[in-house]
Amino acid sequence: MTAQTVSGGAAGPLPKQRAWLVLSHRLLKDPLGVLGLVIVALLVLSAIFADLLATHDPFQMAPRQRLQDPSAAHWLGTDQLGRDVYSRVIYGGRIALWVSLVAVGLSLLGGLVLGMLAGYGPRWLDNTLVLIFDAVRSFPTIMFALAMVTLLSPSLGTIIIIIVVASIPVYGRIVRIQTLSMKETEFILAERALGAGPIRVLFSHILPNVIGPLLILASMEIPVVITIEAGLSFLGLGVRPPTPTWGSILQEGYQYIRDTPWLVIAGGLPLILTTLGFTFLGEALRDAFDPKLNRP
Amino acid sequence: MSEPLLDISDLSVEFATPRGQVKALRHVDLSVKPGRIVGIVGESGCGKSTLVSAVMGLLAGNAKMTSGSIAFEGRQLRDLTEDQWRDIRGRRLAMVFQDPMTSLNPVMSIATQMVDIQHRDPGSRADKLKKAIRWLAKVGISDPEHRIEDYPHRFSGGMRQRISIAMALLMNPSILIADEPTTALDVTLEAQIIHLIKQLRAEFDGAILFVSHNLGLIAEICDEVVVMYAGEVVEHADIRRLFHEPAHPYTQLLLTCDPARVDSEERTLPTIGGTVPDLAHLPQGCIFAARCPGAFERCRAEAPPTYTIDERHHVRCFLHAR
Amino acid sequence: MTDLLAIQGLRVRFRTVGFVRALVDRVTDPYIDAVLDVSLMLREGETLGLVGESGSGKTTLARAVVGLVPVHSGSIHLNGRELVGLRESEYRGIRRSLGMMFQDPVASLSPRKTVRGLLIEPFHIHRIRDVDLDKEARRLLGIVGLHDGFLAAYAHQLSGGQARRVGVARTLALKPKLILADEPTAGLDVSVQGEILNLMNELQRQFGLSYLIVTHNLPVIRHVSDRLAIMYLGRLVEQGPTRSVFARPAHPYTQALVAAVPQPDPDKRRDHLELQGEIPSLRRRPSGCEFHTRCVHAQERCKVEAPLPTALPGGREVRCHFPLV
Repeated sequence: MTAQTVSGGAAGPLPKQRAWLVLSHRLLKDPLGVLGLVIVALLVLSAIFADLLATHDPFQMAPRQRLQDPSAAHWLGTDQLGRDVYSRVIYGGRIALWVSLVAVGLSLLGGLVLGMLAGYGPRWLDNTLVLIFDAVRSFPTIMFALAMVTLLSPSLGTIIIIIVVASIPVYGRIVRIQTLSMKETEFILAERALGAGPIRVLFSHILPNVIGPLLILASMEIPVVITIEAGLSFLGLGVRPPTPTWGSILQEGYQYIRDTPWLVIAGGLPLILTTLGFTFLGEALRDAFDPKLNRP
Repeated sequence: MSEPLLDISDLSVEFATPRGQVKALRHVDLSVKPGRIVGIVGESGCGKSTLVSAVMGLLAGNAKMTSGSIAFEGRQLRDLTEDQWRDIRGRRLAMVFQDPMTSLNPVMSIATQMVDIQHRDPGSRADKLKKAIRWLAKVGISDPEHRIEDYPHRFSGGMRQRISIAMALLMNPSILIADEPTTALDVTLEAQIIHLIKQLRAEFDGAILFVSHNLGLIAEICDEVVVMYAGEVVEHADIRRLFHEPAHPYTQLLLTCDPARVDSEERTLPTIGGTVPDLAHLPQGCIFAARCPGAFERCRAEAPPTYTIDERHHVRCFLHAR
Repeated sequence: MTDLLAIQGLRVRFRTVGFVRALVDRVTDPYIDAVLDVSLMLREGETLGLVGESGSGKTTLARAVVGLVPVHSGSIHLNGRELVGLRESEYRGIRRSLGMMFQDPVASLSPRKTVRGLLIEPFHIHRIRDVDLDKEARRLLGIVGLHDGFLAAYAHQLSGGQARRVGVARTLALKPKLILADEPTAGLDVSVQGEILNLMNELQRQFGLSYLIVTHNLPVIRHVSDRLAIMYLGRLVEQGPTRSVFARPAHPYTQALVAAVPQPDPDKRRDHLELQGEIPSLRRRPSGCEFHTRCVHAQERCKVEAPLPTALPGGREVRCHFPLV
């Protein structure tokens, strides 16, 4: 008997539909999502092409032209040292994006590894990791930040370390719960019955199922990180001058707010726009991913 | 002959999906008379759940009734407001689900839930509680006076299903819809629940719509049967007629496929062959033509209407055209 | 014929309460026995049906054979090799000769993998590199009667029957001798059930497979198994050739199970119930014969004295003081 004779009626038509196609289709139908996408794209482009977009050297001081209003030469005016604010904002965006991507990426990675270890590993490891997660989370972030800055030195690296340590538990807990709930499902048992070891089960089968929701969470974390960086810089705990960041532009503008409002606007507006952009995008992605919102 | 309690005629329901309009129900006629147990049988995707949801007014948001009407106790269910629905659901039309936890609230005691259903009735809480206890005793819960204070998780799966039956019948509805009520239970418990429904029949003057994919259960409990395939009612007949003289080729094949009906020790089991058509892209002609051993030219060209073999036997198939 | 699988005195226990909780609540025995004192064997090319209701331990028994749950005591020999006590790394090699099919046809396939990915994964797991993976994937699909168009599909795009076929193809990838199938027809429509069972039958003939089929579906197992083993509360209460067990059940529980199956014939309606009550909790096993609380034939002796497995003519065995044959 050949294989064909046992085929029964198994030859059904297959729906040719890729998940990501549906996803992008849904995303583009959400106006706020499109707005978010545009803002984020502009930010990324301006960060990549900062050297081309900037009209001046952001570090070039000109004491005679300090605190000028916007003009054809200086599109957003100049600061207290006569530096071109527009160029500083552009370079500030590059730093904001770099810090947030590195910090979110590292905490995502750390959360994934630790969360999967906790969820799939032995009970004692799970208990230990959960204890550490809870301990970190119960510690006020700002105090932790102050302590770190005092111990190390105020720099981009320190900011990244602070953010990573504080947000690993956020990702770790989500990954742990997902892993735990997936551990006993039939498809994981089926893989184990075939002889798959823990590494294969975790990276080949559990990871693809947790990464989607996690990436959405991460895109919504990026503005939070940018704000933290700005906040720390504003408090003088962040990046050292003369590095241009939105936080430091804002802080300097704050000191000269009686002379000109432009500095505060130039530092604050991109911050607000970026935050909104990433949040819109994240929310739209979350909606698009949600299978329960079964929109046509 | 008495008037039907439920009269569905020419009911069609479509779902809007990314793949297009899925025509889940097409031109369904069904009338249910008092005191009858009507079985609805069919394989997955045949539309039996959609039919039940339409009757209960619980169709999903992307569903639309594109034709037909559902009359229940002389009222058009299609025209009801959500307020009027609340009057009917649970009181005139009750339902028992596959999973009893669907109808039981896990954080409320059985007593609270059974008294709550009676909130529109006059009478004191004590009277309502007494009525609830009486029903628990009827469905075979031992020591109902004490057990009624327990929460659902304190009962086993079989007991929970008994309780949800008691809750469904408490308001003396005129139609009870039992949607695969024993599918989640073991065989010995299933036999007990079926036995219980048969016993309760005497106490309950309404009709029962018994939805199942299990031909054995249908044969065990129903008076008449509706066979559904891919969104259509293909045959409707009295129970004996359906099992002994099935008229539609699909019914005939379905009956031969049931391993419980294959009496020999034969290892190779009969199958139907082919697959259910895609309800978003319906074939021209009879819905079953592609899998039907008796199909001829006409079946592939036009869809058959419902033919009446006699007063109580209807079939949607050209083989019975006169 | 030789014994492919031989299980002796198998016991699987689960901890029901944590260590601290047990101390606080003074639980003296925090364990329940899901499988207790089970001995059975499976010959090459044979199909054994393991039948029981939920909580009977039938699924746990199958999982213990594949090493997915730890064994407390007893032995499992596969082809003469002891499996109990093997380290996880040693077990992985054993799994090449053992295929397991899980209950839910769709949910037992990894959701983010294509059918092709699922089919070639066994080769990656066991680091088999000297095969043409694409050819293998197509060959496996062909064996189970699916065309190549399915290679790019994901589990959720498959119907129950199609997903079940992919599951069968996967277990066949490494050419196992024994396949353990947990409710292979659960959740499938009647007409599709037949297709899957016929396929399994055909594969058995073609490849000389042995099956251990775990199920509660008596009408189905009747047509596919050579021998039956009936479980109740983790113990085997009866085993023997399918035909004679169905024709004349020896244990009252078997009799009740057979009688509980509704007949698809309106002229064979039942008006009495064979079996009252529910399965007792594994935490509080009844004394004596554990079935005596529900048994219509129970006598005084059954309440105090546990019956031992007794051999009956015709290669049958029953655990009952007053067998019905």
